[in-house]
Amino acid sequence: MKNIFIFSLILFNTFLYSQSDPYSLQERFRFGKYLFDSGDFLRAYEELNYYSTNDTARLLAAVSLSELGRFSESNDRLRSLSFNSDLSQISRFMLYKNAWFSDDNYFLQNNRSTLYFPKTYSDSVQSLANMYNLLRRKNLSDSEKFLTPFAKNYKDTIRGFYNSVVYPKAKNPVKAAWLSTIIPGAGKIYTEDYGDGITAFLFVGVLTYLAVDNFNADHDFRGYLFSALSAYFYAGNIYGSYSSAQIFNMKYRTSIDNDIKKFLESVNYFQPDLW
Amino acid sequence: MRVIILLIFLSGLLFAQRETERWEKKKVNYLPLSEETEAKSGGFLTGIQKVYKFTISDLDGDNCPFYPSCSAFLVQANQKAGFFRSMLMFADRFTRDTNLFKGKNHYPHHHTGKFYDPVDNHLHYEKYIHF
Repeated sequence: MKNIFIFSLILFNTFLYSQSDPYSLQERFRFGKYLFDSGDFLRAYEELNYYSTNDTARLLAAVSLSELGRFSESNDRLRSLSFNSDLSQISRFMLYKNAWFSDDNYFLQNNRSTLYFPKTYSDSVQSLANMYNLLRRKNLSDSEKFLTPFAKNYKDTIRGFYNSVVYPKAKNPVKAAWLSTIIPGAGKIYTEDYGDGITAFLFVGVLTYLAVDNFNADHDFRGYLFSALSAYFYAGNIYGSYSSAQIFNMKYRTSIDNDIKKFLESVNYFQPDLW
Repeated sequence: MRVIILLIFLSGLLFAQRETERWEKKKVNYLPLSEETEAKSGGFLTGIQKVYKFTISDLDGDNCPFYPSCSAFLVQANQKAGFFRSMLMFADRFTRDTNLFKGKNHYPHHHTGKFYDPVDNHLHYEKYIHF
């Protein structure tokens, strides 16, 4: 009898700690937030989507959708939070961020003023807009005006990006082609393809030497053959020098763009903390 | 002396090819033919490429360090830019191919392990250039 009593006590004791309803909205929200914090946005969205009466859950669901690249669905949820909600400011910022990611230029250029932003967000929005223009190489103001909205600790890095974009280390394709016309391979050396430039010079040089040598030895056929080959590779090198300069410029541009994107990821696109 | 020879001989066995390895069944690739090996119809240069492939390339092996290979580059260039420009592009490609110091970082790497050098990068349109 005593044992049964003790056993019953232990059994009932566990009920006190047992979860009442693991599928309640609050539990789903807690689990969804845990998933959101661990970066599992797909499952987080599925859990948070149940709690449609809670603004925080709706915001997190919208941010999860944004992280998954489902911008239009995310925007629908954010618009419903943009007014008459405690989270309206961050919702509007997220709308702006979504427009940034979906390359919605019209929204970015026209809705900035109509989406009223308080001071904490207006700098972030302006920073994001400036970086957008920097990546597109359009509507760039002078450096001081451009750098105004950025936080002090970012200014030096961003000034570096600005200078790289506005004053790029570009090579002129026409100049490269002309240089190769004067000295075979010189255009490639100008575009910093040193190995290709030297190879082209040797190629054309050796073929020309063989042509001259064969003409001097009265081997006319071989002379004409090497002359034709020499002229062919000479022309190809002029064409290639033009390409080489264009490729150099694109490589430079891509590397700057990648650096800017990496920087934006590291600062989470100037997004203020959610909580 | 005999012991040393025996040791060298035995150590050689460690690196010897396993009998089964050489003759075992080859893995078959059912993926669609890549752009490089896809048969292109018609054209004088395509014909030359086919003859080159049959008589030289198939016997010599896949030795071109670029993707697409020089012969495929010529055919693709001809289709995209016409005969005259494709010949100039080929001359440039051939010169770059003979450069012994192409370097690891000069070209992006294709998943085949070769240097990625598409025809689009040499059409003289910056918007088509990609890496």
